[in-house]
Amino acid sequence: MCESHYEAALAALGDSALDRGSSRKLVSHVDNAWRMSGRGDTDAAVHQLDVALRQLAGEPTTRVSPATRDELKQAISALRDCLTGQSTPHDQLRQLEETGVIPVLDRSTDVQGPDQNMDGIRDDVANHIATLPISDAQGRGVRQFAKAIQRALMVNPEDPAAVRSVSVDMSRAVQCLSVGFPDVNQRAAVATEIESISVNTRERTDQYIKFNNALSGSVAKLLSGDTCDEE
Amino acid sequence: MRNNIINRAVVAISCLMLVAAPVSAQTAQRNVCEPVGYVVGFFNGVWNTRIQAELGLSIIRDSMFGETYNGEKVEYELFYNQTGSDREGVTMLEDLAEVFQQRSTELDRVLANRWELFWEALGSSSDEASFIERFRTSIGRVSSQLASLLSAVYSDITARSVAGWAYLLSNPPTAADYATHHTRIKALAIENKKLALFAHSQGNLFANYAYDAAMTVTSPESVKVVHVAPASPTLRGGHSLADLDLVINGLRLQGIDSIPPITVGLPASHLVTDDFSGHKLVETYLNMRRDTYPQVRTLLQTALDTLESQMTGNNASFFTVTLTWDGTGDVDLHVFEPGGNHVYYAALQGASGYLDYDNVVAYGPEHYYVTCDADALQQGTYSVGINNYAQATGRTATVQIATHTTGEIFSTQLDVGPALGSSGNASPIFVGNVLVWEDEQGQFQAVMQ
Repeated sequence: MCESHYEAALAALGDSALDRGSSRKLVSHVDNAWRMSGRGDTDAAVHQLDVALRQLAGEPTTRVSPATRDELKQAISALRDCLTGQSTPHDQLRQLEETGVIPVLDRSTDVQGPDQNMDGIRDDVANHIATLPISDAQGRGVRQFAKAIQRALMVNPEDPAAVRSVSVDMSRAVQCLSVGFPDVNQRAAVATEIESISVNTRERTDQYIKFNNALSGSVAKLLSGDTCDEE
Repeated sequence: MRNNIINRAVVAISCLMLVAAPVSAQTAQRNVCEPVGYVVGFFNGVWNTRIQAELGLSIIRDSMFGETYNGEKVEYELFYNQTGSDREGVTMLEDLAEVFQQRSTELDRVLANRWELFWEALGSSSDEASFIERFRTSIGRVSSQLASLLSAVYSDITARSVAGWAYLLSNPPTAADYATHHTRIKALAIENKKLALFAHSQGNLFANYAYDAAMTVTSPESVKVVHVAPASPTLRGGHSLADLDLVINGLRLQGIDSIPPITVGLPASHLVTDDFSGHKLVETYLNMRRDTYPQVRTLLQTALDTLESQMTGNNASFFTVTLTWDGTGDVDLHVFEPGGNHVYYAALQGASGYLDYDNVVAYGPEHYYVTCDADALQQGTYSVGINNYAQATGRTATVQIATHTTGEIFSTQLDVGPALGSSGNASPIFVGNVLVWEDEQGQFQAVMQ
């Protein structure tokens, strides 16, 4: 029943640009898993695939592009899911988190969330930014953008001066991001990504909506030049 | 009784020209204001958060004409709105959040507390490298149930947006919703900027109002409108509307017959690959892979090409204070300059700036303009106030302060207080203090204190 997933995983590995050593190891884990499942030892088969997924996650981006890595993860994960039977949507999402396809986010009811180094960016958001395949200059813009959104979550929406101050931070962040991402599609994608993962709970959503409502009817000028903050 | 007005617009513009003359005569001296020819004003669409709206404006700038056009500087200003729900006191974003909340109870609450999917649906992210695209692709492979649920969320969002917009068409934004917009638009028009108003989605309603407000102080030659994805009963300029715009099509299905004709076609796959709604600004109308983008670009180019200045001369102001109010009566703007000059209707000219006009009848605007001449621009605190001189009791005033470099830095609405006549001149109702200084790089800065 899972043969098509097995073949798809092997095909994906065959098509990938991984070096021969890495590729051979991964193929061997997939082959082992297939043989073990054929003997009825599902646990051992799953273990083999988990080893393969961990190996893949550890491959540096210089050897495998994020897109290729995701493709391989998905192919191996699909085989894993098939061997373990029908998993629930919760399991499937958890699997995507464990394999790094989607970020693991703080989902506490606390609007602020964890920020151990107190840099103004929630730790899980900062961790995700660190995984993005972007330059140092782009990273600076993305972090400034994340800080502006975090400030929007923390500001008292009934304090007009404070709301305006965050609005100015947002303008500076958008311009900094614009300089770092001249490709407008990449700019839009990374901005949406950071906004989405920052406002990822009902409590944060409610607070963020209040902030945006407070700015309804306002006017802001698009800034130009270098508005990136010193880090 | 103080001077009556015959035509507010003519008098206001005349005053600007007359009083601006000494400033332009000093252009050989250090000018702290870079001349600006055009302002593109963006009126955002239905789903935009503040930062997404500004992001959209940055993409309009960087994918079209940048910061210079026909040898003149172009500036971009966001006129943000967040309205459109059909429930009283509830905004569209709140409405859509409820839609997501309801869907999140399905499939064993798998989407509960995964609100990043809600915000992603409203944002701009068709880039295949984005995590959400990878997420969607992965979900499609591992769970058809989950993929179907996400698809249902997208459909709900589109449907609620149609309902909200239909409501907005029959219950248009109120004066309070756009008071600040209009104050700024009029100030820009009077400063002789050539205005291209670029509106998307529900922003078209706001742009129409802004255009009409601008017409009270300037002429159609100096203000043009570009309508993107409009459903407005009337238009003030050219428009772009895609055949697969599901929000606008939804309005059409509701029997709303004011919708302008379709101007551009999209491939059916667009709704799957780029934008589930066919309505978003970046993914649909500024999408360089689609025919929408060149059409929208041409509309903006035509607007810029046909704009004309009302007059020549230096129209810049280092910062501008604008006073308007919401009816008849005589409300006065007062500014106390750092050097001690009190600028008001009886002393129009100060050391650093001047009052353009004393409106004694209704609405305003009155402006206090500050020179761009570094030698005349006083550093220190400018204190701004208003006084209900006569017959304006119960009115609400809007006071806006905008600088040449950063645009609006302050805006407030306040009661004008009791009518005090000239006895209120010495101690007007305090509005705010503007601090001006020259920084270490020789740049003049202005902030609210």
